[in-house]
Amino acid sequence: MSSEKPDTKNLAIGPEDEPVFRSPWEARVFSIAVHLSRRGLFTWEDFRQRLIAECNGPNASEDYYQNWLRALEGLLDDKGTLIAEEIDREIAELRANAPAPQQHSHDPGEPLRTIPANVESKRS
Amino acid sequence: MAANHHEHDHHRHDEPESDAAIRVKALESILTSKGLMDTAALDMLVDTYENRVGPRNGARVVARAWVDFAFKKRLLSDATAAVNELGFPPGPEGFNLIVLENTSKVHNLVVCTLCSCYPWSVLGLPPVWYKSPAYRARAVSDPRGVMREFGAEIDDDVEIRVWDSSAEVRYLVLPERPAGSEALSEEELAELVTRDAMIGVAKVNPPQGTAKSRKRRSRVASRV
Repeated sequence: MSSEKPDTKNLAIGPEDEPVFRSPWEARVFSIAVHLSRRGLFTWEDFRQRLIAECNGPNASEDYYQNWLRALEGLLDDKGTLIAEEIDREIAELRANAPAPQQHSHDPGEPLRTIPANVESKRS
Repeated sequence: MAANHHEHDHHRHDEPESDAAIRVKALESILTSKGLMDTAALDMLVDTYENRVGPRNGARVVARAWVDFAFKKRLLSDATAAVNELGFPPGPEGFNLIVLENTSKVHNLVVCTLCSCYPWSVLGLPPVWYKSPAYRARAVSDPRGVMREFGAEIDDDVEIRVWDSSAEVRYLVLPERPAGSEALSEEELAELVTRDAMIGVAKVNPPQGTAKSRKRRSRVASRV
């Protein structure tokens, strides 16, 4: 057994009803891996071996689904389903087409619509 | 960037999507263009593990085993088949489910030391702590300490068995039925069973508010 593991580290126990996924991308990457395996692109054991390598490798993340994502990318690359460059290219494209970030300014700006007070019904 | 690449704030207003989120989006878009994606199937998988399959399944299995001795025997000899009887079929991943019975002499605790293997069909997806390096190491090196953190004290004369989940085998702990639960229905029993007790890091607590437990707690209550 490796003794480098953080044996005294607190477990950071969450509530029993903690959310299954902490953000939508976690749910997405989970389901993509399960779906592709069930489609027969790879066996679950293929994926599990990759996940083990990512969870225990030098680049292991504390964020579990980051490991899951890297495992999936690596496996798809191995299988020739897609290559890493394709993902980088697609990301660049998505970023280029992404709408400008919201500013969340505290300046109230213009109201979307203004309905004037009904002082006097006037027809034009 | 290199100096603080672990300092990403995922909730920054000027960063609508995290690196991971956009990476997953890119992955999905490529797979879609290759005809490998099925959005409906993905949504169904997420819905299944967010809303339909979770520790309440396991709790029903445990409660049935507590009230039905023949079922318990089947559960301990072939858990995959017994659990299927209750409508929880094994997934296509083909894990073999094994049920480990806790007794007054033996306490079982489950871990996956390598990654995050877990009995999905009866517990859903694992909690964050189960997947953490801390739990994966400490469940083996200091199981009593781990259980103490979950509020469970295991007597020194109880043998502790730590089970490592694997590719083929997934474990579910059958906790001890708590004292004071004799009069409860199967449904009420299921409500007592927690996810943590079925992983083996905790025990099932006696029911609150039954005549017996009220009597037992009356001394504590009288201090108020």
